[in-house]
Amino acid sequence: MIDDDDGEVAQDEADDELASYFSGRTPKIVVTTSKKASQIAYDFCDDLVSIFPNAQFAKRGPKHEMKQIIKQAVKHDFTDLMIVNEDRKALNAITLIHLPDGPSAYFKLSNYIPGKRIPGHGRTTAHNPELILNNFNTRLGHTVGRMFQALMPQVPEFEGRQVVTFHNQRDFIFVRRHRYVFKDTEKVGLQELGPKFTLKLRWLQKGTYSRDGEYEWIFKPEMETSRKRFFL
Amino acid sequence: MRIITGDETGLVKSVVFPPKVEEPKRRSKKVKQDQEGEDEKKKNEPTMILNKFGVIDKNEGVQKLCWGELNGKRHIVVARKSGKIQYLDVETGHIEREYRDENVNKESHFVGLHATEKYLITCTTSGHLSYTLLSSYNPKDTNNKTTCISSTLGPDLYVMRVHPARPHLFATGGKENDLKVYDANLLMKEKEEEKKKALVFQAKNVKNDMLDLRVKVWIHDLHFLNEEGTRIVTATHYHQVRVYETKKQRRPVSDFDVGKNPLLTLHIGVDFDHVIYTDTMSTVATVDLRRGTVGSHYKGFTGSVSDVFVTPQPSFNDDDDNKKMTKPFLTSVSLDRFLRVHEMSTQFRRIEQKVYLKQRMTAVLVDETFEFPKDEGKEQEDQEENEMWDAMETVADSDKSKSKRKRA
Repeated sequence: MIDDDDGEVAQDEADDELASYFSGRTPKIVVTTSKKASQIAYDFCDDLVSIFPNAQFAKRGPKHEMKQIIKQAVKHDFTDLMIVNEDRKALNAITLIHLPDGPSAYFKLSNYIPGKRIPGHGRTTAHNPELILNNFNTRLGHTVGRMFQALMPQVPEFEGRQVVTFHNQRDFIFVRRHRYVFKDTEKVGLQELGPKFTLKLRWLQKGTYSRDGEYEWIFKPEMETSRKRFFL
Repeated sequence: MRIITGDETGLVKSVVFPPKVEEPKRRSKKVKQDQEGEDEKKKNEPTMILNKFGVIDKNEGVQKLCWGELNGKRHIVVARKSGKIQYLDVETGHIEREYRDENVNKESHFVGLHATEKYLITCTTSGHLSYTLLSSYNPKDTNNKTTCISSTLGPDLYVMRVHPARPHLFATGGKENDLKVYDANLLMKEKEEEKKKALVFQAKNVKNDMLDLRVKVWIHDLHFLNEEGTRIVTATHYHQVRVYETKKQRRPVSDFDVGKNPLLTLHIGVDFDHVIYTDTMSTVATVDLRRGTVGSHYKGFTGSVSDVFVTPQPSFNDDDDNKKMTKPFLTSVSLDRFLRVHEMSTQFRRIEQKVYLKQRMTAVLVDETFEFPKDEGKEQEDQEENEMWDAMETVADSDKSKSKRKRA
């Protein structure tokens, strides 16, 4: 896929499903887990709730199906739904669904390290963080980047000096959280806060998630024809 | 070959690919190429021509595309999300005619579009069928409505297809709405008894499955397979491909299970015994209807394929010469914003062309008769060169005797 910075794409993005965020709607996120989750999933959900302001945790009941939770989330006016997937006591994926009829993305989660285990980590505060999105160049990258953008409140609180970074490199998205301090006009000091993890996009569906939905982009191993070809 | 695509933002794009120039294979070692020479070569090579018609407006998203004739000339017929049906000129994209179908709104979109010389035939999900006489168009009226002849074709229709050789015969299918074949001539009659006869064929559901439960019905696409309109193939949401023989029995003659994902579209392949299906997970493959086997997967797709066009289209009369002349191609358009052309002549099914078209496309049409405009200047040069070579004297064999003398 290719780089682009042209009018047709801008117009298309101007009224796609994520446009309501850009016209002022504050994000309201609900985080939940897969069924029968264990303590690891709940700890990660705590971390996610701390990263995104306006996020809440909701416990996944044993009989709550995907369609029902999407419906309930839309009913309660949430803008995003994040589902943390766990398999045999290890976290493995996040499904991010933008509501009410936005795109759904499934990311593979790896290398999760909670804040406590990072040496020299700092303490988080409740200020709205700033957001950095790096290297989301292709059209698919634009869509995913906008989905992440729609998770954060539009106006950051600069006095908090916190920043959340989504850095895309070779189709892996690195999520980090830092506190910065300007020592003088040229030097910045960074202290890592909170959790760090890596995401890799597996598929993107248009519309909210449905087992029979149409996939706008799906990763298949046969696509990996060359080591230099990336999609995001 | 010219390709017309329609996308969900309402743009109609026309793409023409230049014929590929075959370079002779270099057997010698790689020679360092003159960089300037290469750049010049690239400029002189013919590039793809892309024309864009229309403005971006999500409410005018293209839902269906088909070929139509107006005044003897072929036009593109576009059915849009807002209910507008437009006849566009192929070269300029100018709107020659516009109709409006009032039955199309948020809940009810177009499921079938067909244009013959006399009629424009459309159908919506709510079951409103319109056969509009093309001659009754009023150019001064800004709102030319389509004439609805029936509104009871059933709720939740997903596909309506008109038989290519018999425009009065059409079939419909949808969610919990099994295959039905109608005769439009009888539908247009006034009397109720004659209207009831319009339903020529109604399919019966297959037998209950092994748990004695009713098998669900959800038809996504269907096609007519023979000239009389008695052989029909359908593709369902539950990944089944079924063939019906209307003269023989109401239940399907064959029922094949294909893949694991809902089938989205169905298209006739190289001949009427092969159909190409697409599903939600970027699979495009061929089903052999005689045996029920799935094969010939077309690779390279990263998103689900929304529409496919096979050229040449097999016709009911045996056009053997025609078929041998044109190479078979599969043109496809998908949600990952790419237009791809696969070649169908060899077993490798390679991608011939691939173009990024920036929008999620929903429909594709191919004009096989279009030929890439040849560079006239270059042709003249070639002619002159040939003439020059012909005019020069050929070096005769008499030189051999001279060289022999020298050696001696």
